[in-house]
Amino acid sequence: MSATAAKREIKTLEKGKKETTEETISIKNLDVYYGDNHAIKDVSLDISPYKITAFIGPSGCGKSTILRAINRMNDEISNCRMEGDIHWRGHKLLSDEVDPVILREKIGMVFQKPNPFPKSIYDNIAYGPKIHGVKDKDELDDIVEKSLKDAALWDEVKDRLEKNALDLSGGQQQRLCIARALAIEPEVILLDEPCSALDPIATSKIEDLLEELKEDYTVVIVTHNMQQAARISDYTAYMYLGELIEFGETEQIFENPQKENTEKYITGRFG
Amino acid sequence: MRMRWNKKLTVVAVFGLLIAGTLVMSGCTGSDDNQLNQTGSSTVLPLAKAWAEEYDGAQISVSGGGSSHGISALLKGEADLADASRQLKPEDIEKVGGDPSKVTDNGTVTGPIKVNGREVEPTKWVVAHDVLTVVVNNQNDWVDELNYTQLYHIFTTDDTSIYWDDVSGLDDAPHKKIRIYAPDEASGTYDYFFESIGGLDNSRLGHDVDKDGKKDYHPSADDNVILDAIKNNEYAIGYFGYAYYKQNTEKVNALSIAEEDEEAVPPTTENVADYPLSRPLHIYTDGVPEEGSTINDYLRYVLSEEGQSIVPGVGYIKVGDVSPGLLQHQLDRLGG
Amino acid sequence: MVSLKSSSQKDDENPFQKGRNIKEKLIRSVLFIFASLAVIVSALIIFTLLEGSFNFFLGPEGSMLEFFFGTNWMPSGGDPSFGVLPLLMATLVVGGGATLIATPIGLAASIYLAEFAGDKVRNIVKPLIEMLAGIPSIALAYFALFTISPLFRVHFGASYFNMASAMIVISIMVIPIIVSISDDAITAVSSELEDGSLALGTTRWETTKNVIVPSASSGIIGSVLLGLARAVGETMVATLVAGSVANLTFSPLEEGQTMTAYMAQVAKGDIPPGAAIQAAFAVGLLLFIITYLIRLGGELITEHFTGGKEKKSHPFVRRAKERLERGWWRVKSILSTERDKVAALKNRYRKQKMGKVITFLCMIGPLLFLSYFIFNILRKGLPGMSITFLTSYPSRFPDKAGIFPVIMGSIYLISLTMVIAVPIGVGAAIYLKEFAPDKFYSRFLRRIIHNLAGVPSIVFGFIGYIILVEMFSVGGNLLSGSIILAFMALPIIEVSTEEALESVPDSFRDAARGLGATKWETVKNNVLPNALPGIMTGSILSLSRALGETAPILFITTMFAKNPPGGIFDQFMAMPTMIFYWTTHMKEEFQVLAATTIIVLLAILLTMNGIAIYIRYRTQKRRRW
Repeated sequence: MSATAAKREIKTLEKGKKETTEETISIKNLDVYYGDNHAIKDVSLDISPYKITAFIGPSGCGKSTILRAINRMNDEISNCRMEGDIHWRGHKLLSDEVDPVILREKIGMVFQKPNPFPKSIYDNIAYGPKIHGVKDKDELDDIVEKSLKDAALWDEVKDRLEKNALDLSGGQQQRLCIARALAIEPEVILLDEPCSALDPIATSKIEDLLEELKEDYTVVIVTHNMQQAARISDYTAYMYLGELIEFGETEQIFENPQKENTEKYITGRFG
Repeated sequence: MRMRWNKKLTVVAVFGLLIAGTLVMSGCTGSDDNQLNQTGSSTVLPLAKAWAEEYDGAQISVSGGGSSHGISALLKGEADLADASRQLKPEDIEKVGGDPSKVTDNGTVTGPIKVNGREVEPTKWVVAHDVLTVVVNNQNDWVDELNYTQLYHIFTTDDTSIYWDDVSGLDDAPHKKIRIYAPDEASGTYDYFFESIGGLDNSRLGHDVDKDGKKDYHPSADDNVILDAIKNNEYAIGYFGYAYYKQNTEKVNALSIAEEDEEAVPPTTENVADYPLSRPLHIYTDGVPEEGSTINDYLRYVLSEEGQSIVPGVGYIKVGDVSPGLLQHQLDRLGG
Repeated sequence: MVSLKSSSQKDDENPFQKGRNIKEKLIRSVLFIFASLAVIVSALIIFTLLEGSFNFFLGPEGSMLEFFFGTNWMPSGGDPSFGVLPLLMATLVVGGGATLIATPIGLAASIYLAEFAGDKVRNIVKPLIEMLAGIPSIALAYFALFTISPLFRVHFGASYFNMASAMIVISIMVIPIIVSISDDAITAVSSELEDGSLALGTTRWETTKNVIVPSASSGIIGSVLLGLARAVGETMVATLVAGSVANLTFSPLEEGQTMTAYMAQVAKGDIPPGAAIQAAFAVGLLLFIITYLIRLGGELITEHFTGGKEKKSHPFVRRAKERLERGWWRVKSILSTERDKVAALKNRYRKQKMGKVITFLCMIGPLLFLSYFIFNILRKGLPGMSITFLTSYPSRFPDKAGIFPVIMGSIYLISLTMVIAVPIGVGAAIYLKEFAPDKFYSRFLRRIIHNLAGVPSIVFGFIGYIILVEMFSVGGNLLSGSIILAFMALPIIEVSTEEALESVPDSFRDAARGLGATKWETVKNNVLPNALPGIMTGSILSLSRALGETAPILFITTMFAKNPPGGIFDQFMAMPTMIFYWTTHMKEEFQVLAATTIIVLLAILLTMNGIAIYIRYRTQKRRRW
């Protein structure tokens, strides 16, 4: 599709720049409540485009909640309330003017547990584009092939696209879910602990994939695995009990943490 | 675990009480001398219920289930009284493994019959008469009496009359289709009606004849439906029990009926002895009940003036109105 | 210490010698027998049906060829014919039609409940739909005959008895089954799948339509088949409303006799003895097999498609579909360009709104029916309500008639049913859950018990009557009535008890066993007390259902007695059968009394269900594990 190619081109051009304010996802004074539970407390940070930003921290620190705030998945939780704002491309993402359905088309998400639909591999990938109006069979074929290639799954499944997605291995399923997210041509990909249910080999495949993806996408990943964050991310945010403790370049966070709390966590002295 | 002790106790106590209550109830097994089980014909049922309601000498449970069911329950010793709209037949005895040859033509037996090792002697009591009424629409002014031959042509497919003016003797009637609304084959009334007018088995109206739909025939199991249809349809004819007609005399016209070559008789209580479409209703007991027994007392009540006075109210005809001699004879047998 | 010594005096060298706990063994065997009773009952049902059918087929009037291929069902008269097709056809029209009506409505209602309704709406609507399921069929039959049927007669020229009104009312009985099972299936679809779809930028409606419902399809199909089995086995509505004339017709506006209605006709005694009654065995057997196969089909589908695997269509169909799609969508995609996205989205939201409205209406529809039903019955029956009515006997004069012995008969009947069913049902569940090894036999036992739940009530009544009254001469009394009802209530009690036992955490058992308690001691002291509320709730619900059953005791109840029964061998009257007799009574005043009796019956049922719901609510609030 020519439009996509053009978009990619722009992206490539923009790549050299360090800061692109339009493309930066900047979270401003974000508070999230689940009923009475104050899950995110006044968090502000900028997520740089075409980089991998990792959120780390102990369970329940609110890292997934941040992710779900960015693409408004929190809207689906009935007693969830959000304050503050997230700016992206000149829009206030949390305002009523932004339709979550359109937003999610631009900001894709991959979940902790591989969650392919109980359909064929092909239909899993084609599902999103179909809903967003792509009806042409040839075009769909192209999208499926391209997405699967981008997700480094094409060679493994190209002969069995009609097979049920649930027959794939866990790692393959997760790459399928990434491919599914890619198929709607998002600009940002959110990944919520994508490797926590996978074995080491599958994990390393996903990690390689993420390295490639950041060429074209802004990647935000939540992970439990500090080594993973250290290996693949450009920036790391450390969260604790709903607060953002420290945020900076990954190298700096891991080698020279400014806060004691951060140091304790990354050296494994508590958890 | 969270349930407190006293709550648990309450639960146990409630269950316990219920169980205890039921056990106590079962302690006094219902072999009460003053209790009679009466079952059988659904034709007799309303009458049996009325007697059971008015009679204070015993507690009588009445149920339906059909004449055959009643007779079989009596033969097996499950019921004290069997209601029957027909007479005892040899097949009834055969069914429970007795000797069918002992059954006589008038529906009694020549001697006791062995059923499952116990002796039983079904004994017939005529307790009332049932009368069938043939009815037409109130606006029907061309017929007020029919004989068996005419009924036969109207209600069977043998040399059948499709239009009113086809019926022999009704040449002045309108040339309109006869619309028949009548009880369906499952009902006892249907059997009795065709038995009386002499309809051949293979020609009487039912679902297996009249496939070409020549006859305008609408069978129904519900008297309400039949009455309603006849009331609303000028060219309709049908029949049902006198009991039902009695409650709806103003809605439809009842016809006088004549047996072959005889005078037509209107269905009224006074005429029942001469009216052709009438049959006796029976109660069967095991032998002639001993004087002083609950069954004897009850039967004497049924045949007494008081007991018989209920009969017309239910819609049937008193035994005495048809045959005073039979009434007296039965009372004599009971030792009255 | 002391006790240990004295008990193991002879075997000093081995203090761990296996003790012989006679009590434990005895209890175990009693529980085993309770669990096995269902097998005996099932075997008796099947044997009796088979034997009766054989007698019919081998008898002079019966012929298998005629039975299965004959198009005439005329059991009485001089030349009876026994072609079951008309009965089968009516069963298909009434049962299948009811399921066809109920399926879209029930499915839509469960979609709204599971996906769009808030907790508040759910908490109100779900109990109401359960209530709809709890209305005795005789009450709905009354409503159908006097309220629905006239509509069809006036507006569509239907006959007095017609299958259409039976269809409508039976669909109302099927909807709650479809709603509750489909709702379970839909809510059981993992939220991850839902999130996965929503994160791709789909509307909730699109997610529901494309991901959730297909994933829940096995459960939904299962619910439809269970509903169909229920509809096919329904007796009272079919008997009272659809008619009693076997008619080989597709038209729902005409009268038709279902298989169940024929058996009810036999129960009422409207059928002359002989081959016509023998034929009821064959009809019963056929009905039994049909409902069994439908339920089995439901189970197989559920098993086969677990994991939501999609059915693959034939390659030819696939290709044709693809070609069609390609052609059509090319035109469409030319028309719709990127700039139309906003319009497209609007359209997608419009679809969601429409879906929401339609499913909402489908949810509200049955509730409107429920309220109209209650309003109607109250309006018809309240004028008949009086002290006299509650304290006197069912006189033949409407103004003097009452239902005191009838109410007492029902209460005695249900108490005796409880005394029989609760120990057996609970015992069987304890055996299966706590004692039985997961071997072939225990799985077989569980399956048999569940199958018992699917036997149509009229078959239960018929076979119960044949076995208890005809074979064992127990007589048509309270005892045989309650035995029949007990075995109908048994499966629900067993299942709910097993669920209650399941909800007690294993840690409780381990703790007790770790302290040296025997299995039975553990069950008695640590498991049962905690499962008790669940057991009571299930028992009360199943007994309230038994209380409203008409068909199984139709063969047994009496129609008149002045006083309540005095013992378990006494004949009795019961509310559902009284309603039935009065509904069919010729005098309109008695039809009013039938409505009044329905009010009393509903009040009693509501009280029982209220107690059960209260117990469930209390324990849910207090439960801390």
